Amino acid sequence: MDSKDNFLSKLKSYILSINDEYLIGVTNKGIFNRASKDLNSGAVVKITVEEASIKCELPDGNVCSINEDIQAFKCSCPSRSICKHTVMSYIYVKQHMEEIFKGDSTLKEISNEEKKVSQKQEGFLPDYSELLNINLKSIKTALGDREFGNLVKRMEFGLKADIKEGALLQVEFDGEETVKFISVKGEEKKDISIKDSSIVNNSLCSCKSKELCRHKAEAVIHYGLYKGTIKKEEVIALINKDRVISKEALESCIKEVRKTLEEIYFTGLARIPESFLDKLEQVAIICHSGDIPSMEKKIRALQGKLKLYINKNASFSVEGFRYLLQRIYILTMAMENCSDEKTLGELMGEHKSSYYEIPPIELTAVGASKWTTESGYEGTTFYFTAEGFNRWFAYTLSRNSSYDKKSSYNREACPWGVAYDIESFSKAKIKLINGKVNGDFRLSSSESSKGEVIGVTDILNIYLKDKTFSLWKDLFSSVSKNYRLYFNEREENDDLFLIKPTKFGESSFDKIQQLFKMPLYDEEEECISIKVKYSSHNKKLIEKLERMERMKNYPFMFLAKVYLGETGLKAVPITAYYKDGTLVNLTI
Amino acid sequence: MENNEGLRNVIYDIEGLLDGFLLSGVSVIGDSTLREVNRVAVSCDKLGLKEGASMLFKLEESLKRKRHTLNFDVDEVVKSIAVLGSYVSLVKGKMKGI
Repeated sequence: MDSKDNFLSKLKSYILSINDEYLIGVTNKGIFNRASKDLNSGAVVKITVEEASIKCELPDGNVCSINEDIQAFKCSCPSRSICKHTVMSYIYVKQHMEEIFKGDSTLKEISNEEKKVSQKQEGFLPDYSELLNINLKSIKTALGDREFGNLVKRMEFGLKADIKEGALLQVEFDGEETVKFISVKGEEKKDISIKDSSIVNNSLCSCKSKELCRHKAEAVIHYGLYKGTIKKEEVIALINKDRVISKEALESCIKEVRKTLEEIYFTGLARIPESFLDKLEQVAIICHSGDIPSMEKKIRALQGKLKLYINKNASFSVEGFRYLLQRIYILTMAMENCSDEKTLGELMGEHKSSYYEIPPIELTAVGASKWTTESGYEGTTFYFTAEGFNRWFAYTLSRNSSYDKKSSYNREACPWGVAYDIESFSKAKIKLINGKVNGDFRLSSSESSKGEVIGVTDILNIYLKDKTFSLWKDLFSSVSKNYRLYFNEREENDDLFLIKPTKFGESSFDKIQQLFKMPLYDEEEECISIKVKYSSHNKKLIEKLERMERMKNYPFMFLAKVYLGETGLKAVPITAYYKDGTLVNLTI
Repeated sequence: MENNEGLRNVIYDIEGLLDGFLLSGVSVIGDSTLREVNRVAVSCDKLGLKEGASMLFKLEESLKRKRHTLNFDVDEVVKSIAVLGSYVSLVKGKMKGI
């Protein structure tokens, strides 16, 4: 068998495998219809069989060379993508198969078998099993750690893929890209690399990428999940699998951290020099390069607290500082004595700050809170719920107020191109397209994200499972569950709850401690207290709560931060919801 | 109830001691502080906080030893303080009903 015969046999099986649907898939309906019409109007195509291609001379004078790979076409017209001429050539070859392939000796020998195949192909039975044989690790290698990490996060986030198997395998990501796989007879071995997969190499992505893009890799994984050959856990496990924990690096980091803690305890906080802040910065960098994000975070928190102490800031507490010190020390002990790699990986933590793209999502704003920090920043955080997610989404607008005392951020523009003021934005239903979110479900203000207001929040139906409580004993167990976590990082906004009191007690103001108190009762007469310490920042909140009591205009639900205090639960309300459908942001 | 009050006081005393160590440092420990550590350790023992008592006695020992050695092992003391602090946090958590 010479190479020409070989080529013809390959081309024949390819031609048998393609149909109209396939040709529409690789081009579009317009090109396909144009090509069919031109061909049906009696056009004659001159065919010349060459060594590794078929040359087709079309009636308009263009010459097109085709082979068993549609992507490898060559046409004399200026089009860069598959053109009308290519489609015409393939249709013509398919229509005149008997004439073109009659000289193919090998085909005669296996004519009976081919016939069967041909009959089979009439009904078109494409085979995508090669996609299921792709090695997951090769996908990770091809994409790179970061991109693969994003892919896994998107999968965990709940990315939905609409998979249609036909002449083409179409994987459509809800509101995003579409990947089309063409059934190509490829290798049948197990565990092939994604780069060697002919199906993937011949696939088309609506992002126009000719190389392997994230969408193609994502489509392969989602097809595997759809077919049940891959499990979500396997993909997730791949992220941490390659994390090489160097014992030596870990030990040297631990040693450095302990040395720093010893220095603090030996010298004493009262005599610690300001330059010690730099020392903590250095240790944080050592932890960063040693890939221990959990420790780095704690060291930076320690640095922040020490800064408060050095600046004689009233919000510094020795107890809080000591508590952080002891947590750091215990963490070093736990890491030192941990023999299980998985647990050690969890103790070391992960960098969470990177944002990844999410599919279009409908967000329901449930309120906003204004805040200021000791370091001179002020801002507003908006809280959202989204269907199918049992978590708070948050978006924060912040600015440094150290230079500009006259606050003007209330007039600041809302994100994602939404032309609303802050107050209206905090009670709007928004469809976010091309949104980005990080591990803590914090939304990014990325310029590529576009928001569209689709309505107003339905106040009476705001609900978040495990975060909405009308019985305080359930609220207590939920709050205390979070407090039990010692090493594991707590979820962001895990102290944010929707609470439904049945009765409001009489408020009081402790003049000595400058503390506003208001008891809230549930139906079992259990009580939790709203406790707000007076400050210029909390003045508005206290005034609004006092007015609420004076007018006897009590809400049916609060969005509040709930903490475990010395004498029970204490709540700091953020937003009040009324039965008439109004929402009042108490801190704005 | 009275016992609970006593427990609260002891916890308060231990926290006071730990805060003191942090503020003034363990390089200079006065006699009165050592006596206070011993007193709190005895109170702990009486209340049934055996683990806390043994940790406090151990801490007292380490601090006393410091006076007679040039090779003072700060790490041992810091470790005792950290473990004792975590122990106190746990006891406080139990008292809150967690």
